[in-house]
Amino acid sequence: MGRAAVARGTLRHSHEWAGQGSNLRPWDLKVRPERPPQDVPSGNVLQRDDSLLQLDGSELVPAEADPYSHGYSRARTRSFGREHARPSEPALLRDLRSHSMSVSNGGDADSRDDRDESPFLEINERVDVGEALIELATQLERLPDYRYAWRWACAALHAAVQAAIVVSIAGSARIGAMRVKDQAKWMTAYREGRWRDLPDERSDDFLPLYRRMKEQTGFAPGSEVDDEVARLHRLRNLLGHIRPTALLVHP
Amino acid sequence: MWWLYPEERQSVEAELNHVETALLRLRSVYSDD
Repeated sequence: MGRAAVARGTLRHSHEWAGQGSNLRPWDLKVRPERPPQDVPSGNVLQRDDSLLQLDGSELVPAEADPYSHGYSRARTRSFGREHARPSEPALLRDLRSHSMSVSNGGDADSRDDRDESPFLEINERVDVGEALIELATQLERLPDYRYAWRWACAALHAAVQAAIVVSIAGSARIGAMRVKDQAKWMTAYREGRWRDLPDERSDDFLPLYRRMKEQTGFAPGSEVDDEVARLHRLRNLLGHIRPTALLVHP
Repeated sequence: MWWLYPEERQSVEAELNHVETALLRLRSVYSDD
């Protein structure tokens, strides 16, 4: 069964997907509800591309046929030239308010967002920029007492930079951060409705993405920052891939 | 190119300030050592 068929409403129980490998791809991020859902059974799976809601025993069906549309939430993260509701307030803003950090305009009726309506936590690159910065600040504040916080600070900084780069060049179609060779292929397949032919949506590697961002935006921080970004990426690779080695950190 | 809605951008800038404050504190702590 292809993705398009699923998107048209042939939903299957999540346990049926296990081991079949036909629709669940390695890059599909599954997220669990952050709180017990009120109106749907447990064990739900939402894939990253917002396309395939697999809800045990649920009758929720994506509202439109294309796999990049779903009808359960007001929070649209893709537009593709169609008229969509403006994305509602992201998780970051809610958290900022709850932490009394910075946003001064307070809550209003419009600040109600999809978390009030949906049991799902939405993770996307725009929210990730701010959320990673929050995590970075949190880890820095643990220092110097908790020295291992350097490890998590490094990861958070890398995540923040990477998310910001992706946001900067993703573009309105949100394919600008993909590998260059995949972008035209993706758009052609999408326009022709050939969902099976959509290429891997993975973003380009970090440093090529950084260089492309500088070219496209005119951002020119200088060689010193470039070197530090490259150093950050090396550190992240060392830490993220959990090599059987040791890093000695001396701040 | 910075594709964020104004309120998102405002929040990101606020968090950048938050990080900067944390860094300044940390630098101060280490410089006192």
